[in-house]
Amino acid sequence: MLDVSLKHYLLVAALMFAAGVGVIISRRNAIAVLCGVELILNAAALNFVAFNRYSAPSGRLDGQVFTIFIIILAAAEAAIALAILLNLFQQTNTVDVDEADTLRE
Amino acid sequence: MDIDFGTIMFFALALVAVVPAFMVVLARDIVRVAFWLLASLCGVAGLYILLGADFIGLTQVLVYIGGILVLILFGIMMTSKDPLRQKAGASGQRSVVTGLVTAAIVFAVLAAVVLGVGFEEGKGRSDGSPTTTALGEALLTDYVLPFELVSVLLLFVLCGAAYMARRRREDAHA
Amino acid sequence: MQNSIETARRIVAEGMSGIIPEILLCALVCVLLLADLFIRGIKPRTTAWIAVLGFVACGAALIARNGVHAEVFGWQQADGMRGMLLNDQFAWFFQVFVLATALVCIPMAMDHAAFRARRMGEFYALLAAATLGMFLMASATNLLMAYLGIEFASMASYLATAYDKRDRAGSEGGLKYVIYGSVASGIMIYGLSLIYGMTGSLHYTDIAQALHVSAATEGQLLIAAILIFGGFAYKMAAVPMHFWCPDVYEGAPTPFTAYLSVASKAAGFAVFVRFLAAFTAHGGPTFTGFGGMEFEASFGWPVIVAAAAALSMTVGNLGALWQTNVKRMLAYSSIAQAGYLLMAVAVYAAGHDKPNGGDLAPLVFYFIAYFFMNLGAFHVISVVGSRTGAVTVSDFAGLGRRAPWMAFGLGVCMLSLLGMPPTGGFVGKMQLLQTAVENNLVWLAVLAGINTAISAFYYFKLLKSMYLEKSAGGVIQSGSANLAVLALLVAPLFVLGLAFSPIAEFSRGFGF
Repeated sequence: MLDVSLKHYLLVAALMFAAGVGVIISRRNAIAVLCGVELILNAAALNFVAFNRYSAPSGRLDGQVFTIFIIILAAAEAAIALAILLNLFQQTNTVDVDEADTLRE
Repeated sequence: MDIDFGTIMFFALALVAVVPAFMVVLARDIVRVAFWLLASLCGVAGLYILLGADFIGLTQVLVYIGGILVLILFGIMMTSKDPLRQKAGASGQRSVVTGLVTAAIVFAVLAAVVLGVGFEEGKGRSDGSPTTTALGEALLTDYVLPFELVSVLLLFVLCGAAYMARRRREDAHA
Repeated sequence: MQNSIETARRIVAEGMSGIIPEILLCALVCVLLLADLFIRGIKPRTTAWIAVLGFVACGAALIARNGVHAEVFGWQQADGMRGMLLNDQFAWFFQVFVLATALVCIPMAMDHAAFRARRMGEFYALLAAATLGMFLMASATNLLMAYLGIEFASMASYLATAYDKRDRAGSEGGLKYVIYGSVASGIMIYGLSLIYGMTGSLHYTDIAQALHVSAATEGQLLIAAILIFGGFAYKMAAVPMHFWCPDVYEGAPTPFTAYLSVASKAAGFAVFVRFLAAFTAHGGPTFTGFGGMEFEASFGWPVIVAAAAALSMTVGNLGALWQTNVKRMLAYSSIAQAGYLLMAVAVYAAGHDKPNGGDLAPLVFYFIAYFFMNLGAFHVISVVGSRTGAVTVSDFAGLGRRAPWMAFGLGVCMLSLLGMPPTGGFVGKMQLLQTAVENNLVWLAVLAGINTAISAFYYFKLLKSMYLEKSAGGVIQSGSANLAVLALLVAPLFVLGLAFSPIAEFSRGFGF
């Protein structure tokens, strides 16, 4: 019968990564792009935990520690992105990555 | 049939993680994007627990879902007047198709990589014991330097974000 | 339990002495944030001097660390220490480099028009935090530490880019920087997770050993390498992750643009080269392919790096041709410079395990020249921009008459960036071309030559505007402090260009 193994988890992570890339390619709204980034980060974190479970040297938790740092840094990054976004919104009333284009000449 | 409980759980949680991830690509408006993301993150939290990473699973729920996602929802509420009508910035059918095609190509490449021979199985941490103690020890011994440094990072990010989001009027007289 | 508390105590006690400069930077961040918070009406000048003091103290501690070769903070394994950071000469050079850049940026920030009569403590705190992040990038010897260092530097940079809240261009630049930056780092850590899966470790030494015997195929390594290179290229501002560069450089406050273009790029190269050295340490796993021929899996890296170098210089120089905004033009110029620098890394990746190969001296020498010429250029742009609001090339018309020394300094920096004798840029570029030719990358050297010719158009466009075009504007008072900084940045370019052999000798000491 079907045994769940490392490959299954890796495939789930690969699908999430692909979905995240799809979001980033197709969306222009800064918050939606951020959601795509969260999907990519989760894919990487899932990879780390799965590798830790199946193929790391026994007893070590390097992959899980890395995942904790991914989660912390993702939170910090989201806070910065939304703070800058809020400041920009107060100036321009737009959250569109491409519409914010006074810089493009 | 000898399908065990773990296998059923895996496929259920994998569906919860992956299907909403693709709904994030397809969703009509920005609020639905955020809620599909919520579902996907819950699925991943379940997968962590299934992998024996109980602490990470709970951190995912607390920090990711309770923190980051709430932050994103706040961001949506504060930057749009009618979020349910606000297009999530996908300018029509074509960009969704572009997104899906790109996703398919990326997945094909990554699937070829992860199904390859480079990843060994057999070792790993599989005793299934709770990880909180072990993680705490790792964070205060082997990984004590990044653990301390990340607190400095959170400090200046907090101050910087507060500075950014502070009302303009207060800033003007400073 | 008691045992692990003891272990924790021992690790901290042993490690502390190895990270004194980093601790001083942490303290500086906290002091600046607190000073801003608790001292009412603290003057920007005061916070700037606190920052200078902190950086100088850090520099003293860093100089005391010269010559040290030690891994700190980690765990003991049978065959040696597995540290988080590796303090060696390579890290030392880039740390001094980043710190010097931060120090030069403080007088620029003090002079910057948009920064006057504002609370500046947070800006200098972010500058210190970014510097700390780049210290970690230069010495990280563990994937987690490299990732943390990159994010540390990035997050401080995102906030500093958008620091002028009234400036819409700054906010837009900051938003683009943070969004694309998180995409790049997300893609990078997915690649890092694959490396962890192949090797079961996060430490470079273990990764190098495990890759040597790994069953991973070249295809797998190549995809992982491409994903990881995305993240590094973002910090180096190299193709394919260069597109943020013009918007961010234009939007950021000019003193911080200067910092980004010099320190951030150097730290990006440092973390990349160290990673590359681990990845290719044993030449990678050896495969027996067609007809029993043996070839190495590390072949992917030189190809990736050489391709990125070729594309960076071409895209950068062609993009710069159409720019009218000076900061945007220098952004494209810095993409092109990343291309020239990557040329040295490509040579290194191709041959560092072979005799006579793997020389990092050309990279180090070019970075020393790049420090002076790019900071000098941004210094003039900042000073002139603060006084006249000049942003476009035509705004610099007649600068040769209006501010002769400033125009002269900018002119020298332009010639050096172009690679004309008798400046340091010429010697640096000659060394880069020579090593490329010696190591069978003739096509890349030829492309760099063609690119240099292309770049002459836009560097000379600025020179022409300054000296040949008339303007009605009056004389600009540059201030003696600014002229002194300019002299300190421009004079070494002639030293590097004329009496280069001691510096070339000096730059040899920073390999692995």
